[in-house]
Amino acid sequence: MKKKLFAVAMGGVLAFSMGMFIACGGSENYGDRTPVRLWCQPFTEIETQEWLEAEIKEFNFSDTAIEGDYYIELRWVTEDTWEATLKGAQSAGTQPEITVLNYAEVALNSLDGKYTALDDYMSESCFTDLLPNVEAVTNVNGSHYVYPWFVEPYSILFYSKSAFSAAGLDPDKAPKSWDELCAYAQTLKNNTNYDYGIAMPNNQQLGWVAWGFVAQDETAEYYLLNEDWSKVNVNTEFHKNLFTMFETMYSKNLTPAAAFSSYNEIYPLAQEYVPMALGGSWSIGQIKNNYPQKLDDIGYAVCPTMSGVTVGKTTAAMGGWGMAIDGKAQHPEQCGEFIEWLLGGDTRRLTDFMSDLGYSKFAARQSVETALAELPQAQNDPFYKFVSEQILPYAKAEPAYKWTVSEKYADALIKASRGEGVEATLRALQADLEKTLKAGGQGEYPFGKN
Amino acid sequence: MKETAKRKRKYQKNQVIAAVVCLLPSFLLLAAFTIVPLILSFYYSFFNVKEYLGNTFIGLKNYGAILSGLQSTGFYKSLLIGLEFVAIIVPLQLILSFLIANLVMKINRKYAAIIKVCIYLPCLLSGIVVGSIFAYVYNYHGGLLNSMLNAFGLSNVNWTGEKGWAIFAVCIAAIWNGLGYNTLVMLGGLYDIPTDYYEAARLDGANWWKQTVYITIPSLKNIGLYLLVSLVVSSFQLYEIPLVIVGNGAEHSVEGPIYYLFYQFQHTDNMGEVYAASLLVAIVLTALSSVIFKLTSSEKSQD
Repeated sequence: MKKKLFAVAMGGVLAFSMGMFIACGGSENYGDRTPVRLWCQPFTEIETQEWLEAEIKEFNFSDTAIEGDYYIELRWVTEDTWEATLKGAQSAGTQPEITVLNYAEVALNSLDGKYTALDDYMSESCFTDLLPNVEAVTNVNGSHYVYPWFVEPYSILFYSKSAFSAAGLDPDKAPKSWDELCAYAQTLKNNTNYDYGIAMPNNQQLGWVAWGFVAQDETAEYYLLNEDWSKVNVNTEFHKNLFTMFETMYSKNLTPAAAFSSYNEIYPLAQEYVPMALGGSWSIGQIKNNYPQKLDDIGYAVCPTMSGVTVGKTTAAMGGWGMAIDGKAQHPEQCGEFIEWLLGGDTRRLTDFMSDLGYSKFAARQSVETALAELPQAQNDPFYKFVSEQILPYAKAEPAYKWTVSEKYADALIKASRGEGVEATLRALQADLEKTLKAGGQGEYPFGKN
Repeated sequence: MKETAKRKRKYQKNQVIAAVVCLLPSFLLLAAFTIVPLILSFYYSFFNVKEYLGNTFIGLKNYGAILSGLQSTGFYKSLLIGLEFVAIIVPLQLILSFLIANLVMKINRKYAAIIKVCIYLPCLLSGIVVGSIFAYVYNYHGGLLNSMLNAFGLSNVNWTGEKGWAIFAVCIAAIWNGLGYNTLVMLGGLYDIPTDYYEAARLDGANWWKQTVYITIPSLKNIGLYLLVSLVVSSFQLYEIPLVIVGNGAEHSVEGPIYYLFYQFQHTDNMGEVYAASLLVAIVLTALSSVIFKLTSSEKSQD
């Protein structure tokens, strides 16, 4: 009897679990329509996911999709598993037909045939509408391989105004030079209850986070390389100063030896683990949506520079995400149609998106920027105004060279931070990158095809 | 007579059919997941493999790129890190499992059962779960280990971010994960040693140390060899635990050969290079195992 009861109970649990799985995993029923796969990485801000899901749902029930007899099938693939899942799918022929990707991936992947040029599948007006500096990112050898969704500059300095006041600093006056940044961090550490003065990026994310700093180098031709990617340029005063600033931060314990969070998250500042933090424009969206009570206390300023001049010059790199059509897409017309509907069409969609995200992401199209200029909400948003006027006009597109170059730079920066000597580390980095370029040039990789 | 021979032949034929039927599933699985991929890897290792642009035959260039260290010294570095894992994990794992197995043999059955269960439980966890548990233990901000240090007035240590500590952090987690299995295998070996040997030794006045050196260890030679080879191979291939605990931090100091392959798989433009690197790792592992067999003269196994 007991055994029977146990079996019935277990059967019930199994049936309930299966029911839950089916209920949770259930998707919209689009009948026999052809699925067009779209893959995207989940963003830190949940509002981005919600917006994309809602828009895709709206599209799938639109006349365009119904008459075209297809629907967009969205799949979220986490950042950790993205490359492995994508390569597996490419081998099996089940890769996404539309990929959401960041701009840094566009150039080299396009040359490798991974994406289809969008020009044949989208209206020309979509491309003429792009802001010039964004258009340059999407254009590889005269064709457009990605259609931009939004741009977001980094790094920007965020800080706690109350911590500044408590430390005897003026909450309306942020540090402007790297030396001042270290001095402010020291003052905050000494004069408040905070254990550290600032959260600095120090893990492998530095590979791309460092682009924000390196973009400030006015003497550089193309970030760490020269114009045609044939020479390395890292053993310079600029990099010595940058490495020294990181070394100071770590040797004086002004920043934690291990980061509280990834660079994408601003919670160490919002939850008062640190009084200052570097982040991207997305950080303000996280504060507005997750920590609205902290909004008045959070100050922001352009990222300090080596010279201390922060007006009218590049202080940040310009990142962002867009959509590309796979090089082997079976339905490129439908893909182009969807991308145009979502990102190249009605400006309302994107202005709504930017509003949902607290104006922490910025327009890539002229018409969207104009629409935002007519929205009092956007124009009255101080952060939107600050970034639009002081940062974005000067922000530099991320470098398109091989990831290994950026990774080696990050490794060297970490080594210098750990006290292995700035000059020696830079010399070794220069030699290592020269070797890498030489090897890349000997292969068929397009160093020099900038 | 003729009838008997016929029946015998039929019986033998049936036996062969039964053997083939029993072996076929294993063979098919082995062929599908090991032999065919191995042959294909070998074939494609001579190509510049680009998913979208097609494959181009480049001869031995992939092997040259890896072995010359021109593009990156990552391959050699990963082999050295694999050997570091072996050097730390294998002796500690063997000594600890031997000591615990002996302890279990000596104590009351009830307590022995408790120890066996406790020590075996971590084996049920995957490397990813073990990595996650230890990532919490080693967490710089409020992790278990640093909290204990703080209780004694000591400051935090960056266990997983400093290359000096990271390798030990990973090895300790790996030892914790594998200790139960090795202890149980060792225990099985200890149970197989006839008690008469020990009684005779005791009558001759041999103490615990002498019994261990002259009876226990020689009797465990086959078990020890099995554990040695399997531990060397698994330690050399350690991948999930370093991935979760350290990732590619700590100046890449815990990226062993399999981690290297995974990383190359994720980031390379030419998959042919990954196939070539996989085969080179397989050759290194085979060579390592052969050396162990040679050094321990395993063909002269003891009954």
